[in-house]
Amino acid sequence: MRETGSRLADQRLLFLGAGEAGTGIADLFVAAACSTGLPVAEARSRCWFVDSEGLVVRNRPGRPLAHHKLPYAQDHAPVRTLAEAVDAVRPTALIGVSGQGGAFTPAILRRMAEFNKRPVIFAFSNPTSHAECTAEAAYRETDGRALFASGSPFDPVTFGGRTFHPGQGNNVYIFPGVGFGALACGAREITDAMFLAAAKRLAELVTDEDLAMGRIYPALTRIREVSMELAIAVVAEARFDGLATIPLPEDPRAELCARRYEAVYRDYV
Amino acid sequence: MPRGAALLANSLLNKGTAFTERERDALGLRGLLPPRMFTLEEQVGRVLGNLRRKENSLEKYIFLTTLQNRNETLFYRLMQDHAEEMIPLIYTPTVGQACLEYGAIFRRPRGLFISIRERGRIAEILRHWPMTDVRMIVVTDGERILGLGDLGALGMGIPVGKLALYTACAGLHPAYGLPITLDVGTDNAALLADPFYLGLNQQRVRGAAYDEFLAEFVAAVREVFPRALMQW
Repeated sequence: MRETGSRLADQRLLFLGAGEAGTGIADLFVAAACSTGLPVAEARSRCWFVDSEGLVVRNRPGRPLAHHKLPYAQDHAPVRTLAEAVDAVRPTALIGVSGQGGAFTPAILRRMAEFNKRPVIFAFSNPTSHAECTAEAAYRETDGRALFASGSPFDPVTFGGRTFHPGQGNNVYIFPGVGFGALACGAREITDAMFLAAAKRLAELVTDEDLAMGRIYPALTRIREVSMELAIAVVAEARFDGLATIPLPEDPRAELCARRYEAVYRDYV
Repeated sequence: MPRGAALLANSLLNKGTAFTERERDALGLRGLLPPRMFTLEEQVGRVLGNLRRKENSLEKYIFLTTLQNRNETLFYRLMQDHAEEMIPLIYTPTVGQACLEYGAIFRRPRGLFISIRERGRIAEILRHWPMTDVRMIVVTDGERILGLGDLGALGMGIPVGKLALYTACAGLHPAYGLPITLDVGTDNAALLADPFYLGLNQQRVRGAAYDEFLAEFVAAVREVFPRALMQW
């Protein structure tokens, strides 16, 4: 949003794939949007899903919807294909969690570029062969305007005289720091609030230089620093929510750094 | 502290050619190692050269797995110093291909494989793990591995890779991590027909029997490793 100049509440997300990976992302979006004051129903109405039978809508003919999809079943006429759904929803972001390589066709990407100055294109399915589109296609079909990320890495793409270094939108940015923070403070469960705290901290760690390079995540070379910052944010959230069971100093940074494993040899004699 | 060959075989303690002169004398290593002593940095340079000579990502994955099983300090030094190059090799995307071929590239097991045949004995099996103070368990039943679907027992590559990242990225001590595969069979016909498949050769157990197996597993973890968090 730093790049698009928009707000969370302005987003319309269209997910391809309605497995728990997708609804999990939507749940976090809803939690984040609600924390900015948007009512839950409003936030949910901004999340649309396409599964194997088309757009997830209320009273869809055929098999009943799986339980986890129900909160995101919208009031809309049935729509069969992703291309039609893109036209119907006019999303700001297209999020691929389907495992279907190439599902974001050039035509779909071009439509996204018609609707949006900076279309958000996330091809999250792994491995690379299952990504919904390549980085090259995302930039080429949107005149280099796409904010692109993928689950598996793509090599840098040169388009229109600019070189883009697309980021790997991989859970490696999140789970190590979240788990380390939760263990350090003795949290017995990891809540959505803790994940959200980690996600917000991660977004803050993206530099202007990252964005200028087309990267919406910090460089992987900073992963130790990033994980530590997330762990500190998670400890703070766990404390706030009363889930921390192990006392830590008010500012836990030094303590967490001291507990961190360092790959060095120790003397045995 | 183990000595001699047993020390060299312990991946958490092994230093390979970096054992000092004093350690070689005190710990019965003299003669088991070539005479010259190398620093950790020099060892990193050597393994990096070996790694980069491998022709494809899967060969690199196999090389890194073997290094991890031999000398974890060196493995994690390499991870930390070259994160951008290593993470795609031990995790997505390479780990997907590695899981697909986990049977064919199998060297030695890492983590615990608990199959539904061991129903009623899960706590006993957890106690077979050599570390007693486990803090982080990553567990899979192999049914949804990345975008690749049902890989049965071959899904083990994911918990192993995730725990390596806990250590490399966040600094979780490697002795605290435990990767687990719950093998309840697979509905992947290609795997069932594969002569190198590592898991139970049967269709997936579902329904009440599956739920009971899972409930026993969770209860057993609470009993044997009460401080552990579980990631599914």
